[in-house]
Amino acid sequence: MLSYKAYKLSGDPKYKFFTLAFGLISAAFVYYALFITLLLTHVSRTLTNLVGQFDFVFLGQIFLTILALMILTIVTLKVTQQKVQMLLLALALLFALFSYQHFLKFHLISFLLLFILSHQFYTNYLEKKSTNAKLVSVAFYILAVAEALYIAFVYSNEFFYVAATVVQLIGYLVLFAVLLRIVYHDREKGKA
Amino acid sequence: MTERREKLDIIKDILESIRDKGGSIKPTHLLYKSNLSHDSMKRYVGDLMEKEMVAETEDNKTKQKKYAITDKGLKFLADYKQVKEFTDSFGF
Repeated sequence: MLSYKAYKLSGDPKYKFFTLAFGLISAAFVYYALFITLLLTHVSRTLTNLVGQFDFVFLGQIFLTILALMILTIVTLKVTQQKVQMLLLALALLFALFSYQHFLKFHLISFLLLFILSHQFYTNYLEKKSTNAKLVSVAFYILAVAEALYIAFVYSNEFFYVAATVVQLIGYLVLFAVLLRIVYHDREKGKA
Repeated sequence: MTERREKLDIIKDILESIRDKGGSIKPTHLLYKSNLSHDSMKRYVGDLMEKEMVAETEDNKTKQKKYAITDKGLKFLADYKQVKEFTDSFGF
């Protein structure tokens, strides 16, 4: 929302891509939740069989999430060369999609990208010294930890899967808190 | 060394310069106030006119060309702080 506003105000494409990245993350969650609900409620036997054979629900989520995180990384690290951008996108998607062990590789790539992003946002916090910048950095570190827990789940038990999901939720809630702080802080100042 | 201004900051500086001069400003004053080269200023003002944040007007007495801030331009200044806080949080 704020990113789109920044794009409308400045016309700078980086804000457009930032909006796109978060749009894709949301789409990935909605897509996954929708299909899982359909599968759990056994609406269609054909659909259940199809998903069982090709695992396209999870592959779809991988595609949307990796695309989103890579766009976010490219924008945040200010990678301007289009050839490099395309190469990074292609490498991440090929590695995650066209191989076996999708689950492990998806979370491994997500962990790496989120760790890079967290570090970048931490550097930004050291520069800006603002609470919001600190919260953004913390949120991305939390999201990276969630990915590490998903990886741990592969080698351990279900507890790590539940823990990862809870930690991921906390990460996104912290990001949401930043959004609320920006919107309401401005409104409070406007009233004063 | 001074930090390079972002596009958003430059737009804000231009619009603030016009607003602070009572809503309209002569091109020469804007050039001085915005701290831009002549070509850059023309490009930015052209862009802002296209986005209807700035309008070209004429001074009633001197018939000199002036740039005036529009309602859309004033709205930008109101939104700027929020957007700036957002861009600073993510380091853009």
